[in-house]
Amino acid sequence: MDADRRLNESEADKALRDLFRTSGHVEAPAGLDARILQRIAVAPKPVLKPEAALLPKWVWGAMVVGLVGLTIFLLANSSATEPSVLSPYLQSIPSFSFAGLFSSPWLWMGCGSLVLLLGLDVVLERKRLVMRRAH
Amino acid sequence: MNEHEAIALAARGDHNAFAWIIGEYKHMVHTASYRILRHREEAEEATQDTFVKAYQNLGGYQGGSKFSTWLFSIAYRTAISQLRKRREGTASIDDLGAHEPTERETLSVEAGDRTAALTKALAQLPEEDAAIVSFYYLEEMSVEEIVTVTGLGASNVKVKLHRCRKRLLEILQHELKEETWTLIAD
Repeated sequence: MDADRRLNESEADKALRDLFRTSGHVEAPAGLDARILQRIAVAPKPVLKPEAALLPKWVWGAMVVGLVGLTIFLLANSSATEPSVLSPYLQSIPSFSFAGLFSSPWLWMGCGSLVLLLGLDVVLERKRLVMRRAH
Repeated sequence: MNEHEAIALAARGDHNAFAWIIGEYKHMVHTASYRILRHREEAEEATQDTFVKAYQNLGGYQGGSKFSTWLFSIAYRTAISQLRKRREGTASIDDLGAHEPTERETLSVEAGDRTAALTKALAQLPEEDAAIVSFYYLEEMSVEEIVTVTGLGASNVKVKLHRCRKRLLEILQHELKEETWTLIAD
C-alpha cells in the first residue's frame, strides 16, 4: 500500500516537517562570518534613510514666495483710493470675526478629538514596539 | 544582546552587532541559497552577498515584517539572480561540479538515511520550488511570509506547495524503505 495514499494532507505535512526538522539546515562553511565581516569592513557604511517628505522643499519655497507676494500686493493696494482689479474677488472671500472663534464649541471639540487621536496613536505605537521587541 | 538591539546597533555601523546577526542567521541563509544554487561555493558566495546587502540596507528595514522574512527575501532574490546568470552563461551545474557528493549525500539511502533521501528528493524539484518547501517545512513560514519573500502570488505558492508535497512523498516513498517511511509518517 502506498504511503502517500495513507496520508492525508495534514499528516503528510507533519511527516515532512518532522523530516525537514530532523535533517536540519545545511551548515554554513567554517570561517564564513569572518569573510563577510572582511567584506563589510571595506563596504560603504549603512545609510539611515529618512522618510521622504510629503511635499518637496521647492513646493514649500514656492508657497512661501506666493504668500509673501500676495501679502505685499494686498498691502500695497489697501491704501489705494481707486479699487484694484482684485477688489471684486477679495470682497467675495467670506470673512469672519476671530473674536468669536474661541467661543465656538466646534473649535474645542476639534481640539479635543485631535488630542484624543494623537494619544491613541502614541499608545498603539508603544504597544507595537513592545510586540516587536517580544518577537 | 537581543535581535532588536543588534539590528539598531548594526544599522549605525556596529560590526559586532552585525556579527551577532550573522551568527544567528548564517545557517538559515546558507540553506536557502544552497537549495536554489545546489553548489557549495556558489551558495557561499550568495550567502556572503546577502549579508553584505543586508548590512548596507539595514536602514531601510522598517520592522513591518519579521527580520528573518526581510533577510530571506534578500537571500532568495540574490540566489535566484545568481542562478539566472548561470543559466544565461555557458556554465552548467555539471561544469561547476555540483554533483560532487557531500559526505551526507554519500551515505547509503538503502540504509534508510532520511537526510540523504530528503537531499535527493529536493534535488529533483525545480530550484525555486525546493527553496519554497524548505521555507515552509524547515523555517515554518506561513504562505503569506513566503509570498513576501518570493514575490509570488499566494495561490501560486499554494499550488507549488501542493505539487511539491506530492512529488516529495513519491520520491521519499521510493527512496526510503516502506517501514522507515511508515515510522516517519507515524
